[in-house]
Amino acid sequence: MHISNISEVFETLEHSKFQNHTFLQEKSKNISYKQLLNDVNKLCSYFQKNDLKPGDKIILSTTNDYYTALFFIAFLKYGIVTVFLDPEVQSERAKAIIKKSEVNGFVMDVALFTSRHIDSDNAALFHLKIHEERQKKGKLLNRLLKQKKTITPETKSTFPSILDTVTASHKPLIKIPPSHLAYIIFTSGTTAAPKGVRITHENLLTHLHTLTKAYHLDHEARILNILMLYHADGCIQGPLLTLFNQATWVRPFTFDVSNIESLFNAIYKYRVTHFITVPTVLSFMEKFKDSYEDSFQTEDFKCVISVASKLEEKLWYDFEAIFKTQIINVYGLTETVAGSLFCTINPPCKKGTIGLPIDCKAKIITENGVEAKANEEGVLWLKGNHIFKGYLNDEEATKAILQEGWLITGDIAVRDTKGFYKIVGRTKNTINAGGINVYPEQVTEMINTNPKILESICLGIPDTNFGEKLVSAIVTKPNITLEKTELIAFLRPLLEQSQIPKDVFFFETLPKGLSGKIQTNEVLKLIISQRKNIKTDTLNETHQHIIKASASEAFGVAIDKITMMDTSKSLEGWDSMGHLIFITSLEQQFGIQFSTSEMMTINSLKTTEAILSQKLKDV
Amino acid sequence: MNILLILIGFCIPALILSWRLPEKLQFIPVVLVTIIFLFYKSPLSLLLLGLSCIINYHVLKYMPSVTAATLVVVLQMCFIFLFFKLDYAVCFNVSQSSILPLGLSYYSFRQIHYAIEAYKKQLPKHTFLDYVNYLFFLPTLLVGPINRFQTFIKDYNRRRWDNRLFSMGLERILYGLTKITFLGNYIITRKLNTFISSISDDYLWGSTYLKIVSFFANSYIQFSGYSDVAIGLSLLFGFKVMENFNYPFLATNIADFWKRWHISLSDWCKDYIFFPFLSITRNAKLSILISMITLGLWHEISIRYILWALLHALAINIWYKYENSFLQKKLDHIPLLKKGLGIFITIHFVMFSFVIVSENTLNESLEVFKTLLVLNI
Repeated sequence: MHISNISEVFETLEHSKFQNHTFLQEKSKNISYKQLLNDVNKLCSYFQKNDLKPGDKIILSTTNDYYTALFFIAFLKYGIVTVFLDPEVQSERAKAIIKKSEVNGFVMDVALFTSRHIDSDNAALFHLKIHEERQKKGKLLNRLLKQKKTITPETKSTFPSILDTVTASHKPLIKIPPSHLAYIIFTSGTTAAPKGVRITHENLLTHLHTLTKAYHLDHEARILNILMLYHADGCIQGPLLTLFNQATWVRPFTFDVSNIESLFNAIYKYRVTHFITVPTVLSFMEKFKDSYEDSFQTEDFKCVISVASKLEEKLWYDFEAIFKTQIINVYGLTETVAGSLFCTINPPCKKGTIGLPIDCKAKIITENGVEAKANEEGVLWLKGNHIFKGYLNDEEATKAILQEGWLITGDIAVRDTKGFYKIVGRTKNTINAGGINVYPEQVTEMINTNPKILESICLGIPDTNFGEKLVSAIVTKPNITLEKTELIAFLRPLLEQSQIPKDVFFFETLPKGLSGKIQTNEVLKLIISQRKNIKTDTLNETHQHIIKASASEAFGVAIDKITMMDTSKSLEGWDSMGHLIFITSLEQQFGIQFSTSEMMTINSLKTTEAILSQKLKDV
Repeated sequence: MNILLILIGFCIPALILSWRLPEKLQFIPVVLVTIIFLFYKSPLSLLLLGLSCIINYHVLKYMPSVTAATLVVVLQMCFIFLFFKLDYAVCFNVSQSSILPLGLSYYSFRQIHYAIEAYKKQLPKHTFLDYVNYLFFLPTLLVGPINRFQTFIKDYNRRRWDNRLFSMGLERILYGLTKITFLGNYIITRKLNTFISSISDDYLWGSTYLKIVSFFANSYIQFSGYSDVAIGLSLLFGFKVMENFNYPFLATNIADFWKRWHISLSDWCKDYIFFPFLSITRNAKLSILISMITLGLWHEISIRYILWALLHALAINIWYKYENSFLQKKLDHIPLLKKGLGIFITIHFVMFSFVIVSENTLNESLEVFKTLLVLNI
């Protein structure tokens, strides 16, 4: 069934037999479609009561995941344009976004109204404060004694208490035309001049169809998406894609390295079918895989969907081999709603690439402005109904990126003879750290406001976990010292967490070109050479070869059949005697001796490498 | 069998409640039922398990030196185990009989495993309640397997209702009960043994051989049947407990046999006896010997079990010597013969070695060997 208007999504749902189906599965709470519909309808009545009109722009900013999804969905139904404002965003940027959006109202957590001075600055606009209900002790007893919920005057006019005061209206809502704006997400630009990506209902619905097709989704899908909801891959590929398919959105927690075990467990526990995530999370999972290798071996699980940043080929192959599952790699930008090119499983695409465009056109334009031949590099251009309509109140930036309906991605790509696209570089100065775009100019701008700093530049360097990480090269004023911690403390109130440099390098001068501009490539070389002097913590390939050769000899397995992912379970010959031969062979070759605890801990080649690396460092 | 039925009976209410209660409370009925069961069947065991559980967890958590804490726990558990195994409990009037407190062999080894894993820093994030859940898990309390803490916690954290798992559990229990009652009790104990007893003395060699086969088959069927019930019950609770047997009669050599027979105990000995001794002595033969003696003494502290362990240690060492020999390489060219011969020799070695522990005295065992070797006819 082809849905071409958002109202059809709700009409289908109103008559659906899946109303008792779970829309959102949280850790200890489920939200059914029935409840979602009821809440959405009540909110629409509330909007009518408060004279909100389709086309009004409302800032949405709350830490509650269900409320974010609920308001976004209700706004879409009513025709209100959601302006996403991350509750974690620092106040300077928030102020700039609010100013630029020229909004008609705010739906935000109570605390954010205060910290962002909304009450005093924008008293005439629509305000709805979210006052999250806390679970009170004795709630069970209250329920047993049938005690009513006590509503304090403080919470009476806030959400969700206001829902109790409205009834779902039967007054028909205006049918939203496809060209109508659906939402605005601020992604780039400088702190003072943020760039808002405008997405229409047509863009959105077209793309939801594409995603459904690429991932083979239906109402039985259970999508695990714990990405940030104020980014397109979180809000579009989470609640909205779920709603579009009347599927289930699984979000028992948000990602944190400390709950990586819970992430593994969630796949089986919540019967996940599709896991939408970023390469950084996959990299952590690959690192902490011990005894969780079977996590994706469930009867329900279908595939992992990697979004937001480049999926390294090695990680891709290793992850699939370890967990015996398959990955769909997605390439897209906020400007394309979420994706554009997909390296799908069915039909199979070439691994290591971003696959093929689905429901859109792609071309590569060389430096000479002509279309590239096979295997020739150039900038990737995209065209389709999902391409955004331009930046909010920024004609110049829009013109620079949209030409005759084509979106100039700024990414350097090649297309092989079979038609598969691969990203090989970038023209824009953007850093993609674990799926989050960071614009180094923004950070440099803030660092340079520090009175102790003479000049600085921020850039991205390769990182095994995050793909890239933001670092700063700094020159302080003469005779002035500055500690890294001091600089970070200075930046914290000015920047978002993702914008804080992960490393700071101090130099006496920074290399400059004839025009006096700092030369990024030269600075990068300086940083790399400084890092080399500090870090020697990883074993080189020769050492890995010795480990594999020793394993081959000890366990009687051909060396070409051994990978660094092998464990005592995957290598058949790894028995007690083989273990001794393996250990003693390594001891002899590296001139070290393993302790009892180390000998007992060695149960995989990766563990061996880690222990060996540590021992060699100690030596 | 009787105790197994009581165990199943106790598990039923725990099972219903554990799936009906809110997630946070789901494990309380399992622990409570385990406590009631132990209180009813063996209060001494309940006391030992309860105290050791509290002490060990807190020693490992709060003692500043993890090495010292591990030593305290290991020595304490060894002391309790040996105290009862060596009948000191009867001497000191702690216990009325020389029968070991219910489940002690399993929960003492589980706690040693937990302590050594803590020493190796290989334990996942967990609370005291998780440790209580692990130790007070009724399905595996009495007959093993000596399941590992890490796997238990993993299953606990990903636990959910699964029709397939539940039906697998029921099937497994049925399979285990059939093994014990029909194959073990009826076919082997009643029919085969009656047949063996009816064989005339003229066929002494044949009847002796059949008796040995019967003892081995019954041991395997009974023990693996009990394990099946334990694994099946665990599946009903949503836990995939490790397998304890993997067709041991198909083992192609003695090292392979110990990867298929009482797997949880042989793995325990490999991880917590063999590897530590190996790292200290760098002597594989000696480490195998010590591991096998531990494995033997776990069953019973006696000369016959030491002899049995020595024999197996010797066989494993011979196998490793032979593994890369000229003869073995020659046999590689005839894989079917190599496999068949391997299975035949291994199963007969194992069955004959069981004679040492199946007879009442060593003299009686000697008589059986004489018969087999046709020395007393």
